[in-house]
Amino acid sequence: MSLAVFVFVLMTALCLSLVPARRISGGDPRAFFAARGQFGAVLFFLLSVGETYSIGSVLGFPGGIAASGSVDVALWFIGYILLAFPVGTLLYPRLWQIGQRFGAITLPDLLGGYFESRLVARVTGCVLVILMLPLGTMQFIGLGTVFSALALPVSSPLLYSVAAVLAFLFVASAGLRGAALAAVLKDFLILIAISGVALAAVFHWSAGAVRPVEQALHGAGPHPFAACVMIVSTILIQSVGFCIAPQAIAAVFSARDPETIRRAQIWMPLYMVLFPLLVVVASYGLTHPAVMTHPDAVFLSVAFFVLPAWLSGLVAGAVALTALVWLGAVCLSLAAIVTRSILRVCRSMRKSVWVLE
Amino acid sequence: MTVFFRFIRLWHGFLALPFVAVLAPIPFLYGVPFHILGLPVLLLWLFFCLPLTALCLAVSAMLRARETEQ
Repeated sequence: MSLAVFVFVLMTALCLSLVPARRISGGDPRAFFAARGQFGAVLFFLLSVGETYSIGSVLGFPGGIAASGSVDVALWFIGYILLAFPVGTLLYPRLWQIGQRFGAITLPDLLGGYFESRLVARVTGCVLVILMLPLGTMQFIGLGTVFSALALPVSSPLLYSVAAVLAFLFVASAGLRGAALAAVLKDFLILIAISGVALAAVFHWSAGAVRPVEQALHGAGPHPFAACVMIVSTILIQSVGFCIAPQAIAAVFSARDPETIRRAQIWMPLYMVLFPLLVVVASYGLTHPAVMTHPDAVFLSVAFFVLPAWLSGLVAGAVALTALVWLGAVCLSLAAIVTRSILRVCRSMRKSVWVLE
Repeated sequence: MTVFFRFIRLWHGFLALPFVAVLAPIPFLYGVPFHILGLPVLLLWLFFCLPLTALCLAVSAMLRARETEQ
């Protein structure tokens, strides 16, 4: 039953991503990679907050708390995402305006145009591609956790290949518009998934708890000064880094105007209200160790323990969708970067060399 | 320095307020052996900063819009 619901969720998301395919015309890259800057506040909001609930948030955040038994992970994780929103409020409208001036749809486009340098565009593009690869790998690791929880009778390489094809299909036909619609479904399902798991965990709390939360979840590590320095520095650096990820910039360029961006940014901190519920799930895993098969998988372990089979399948589908939609959106951004800032520069350099010869 | 402060507006202050709210209490509340609902007080304060940040962004947007109109 859970497998059937899981497959249904993924197929529904795939169908949604194919809906806007007919509206994309003429091979205009701005329409494909940045939706031609036509997204209003709602779609821009849903595309941007997709970053908030990536597989790192849904699985990694409670997994980190469960593995360490400490609040340090919770503090810097929530802190940097939260403070990225004021940074984005200041930065994104300005990036949008400069992007309009240079017709940019990627960050390398923008920097290359601003500094009038192809080298800047190419170096920025190469750096972004290299830095995004580990994050992409993390999505597949998270997908592996989902597949393990479902105990699918299929080999892992085949499952990962199917996942990669699905992520490609989310964006192949309609570009960013397809990813945005899949993100709408993903955000809706992840709200239900996190709320449902946390509420069910609270309902089942008294059965099987071996110790209270204050004993399981430590308020401080053995080196408080070093921990505070790590937490504060991570929050400060990551809050800026969060804002210049390629898919975040692609979302910025999809907005209709700077006011759209500013209006959407106001609501984004409220979208994080599910993080306390993820702490509840991690705390349930810490106080009910028999439920937790592995700290990394605490969210799915608790879900499969406290929820009926069909709802577990919905949760697994929602979690898989967070990884797949993220992968699709990031690969779309990276494709734009590679084709416009790296290969195009290389092609024009080869042309220059041929002419000189 | 004077030139820099000339460009600082009140709505900038409301964008900076979440940073103060989140970061300033960390050295003081980290490790405090006081729990509410089983959770450390610093973590609960961080949860309170979620709607606080939204409020600061809303006030900042309102002040900026008013300044733009003027």
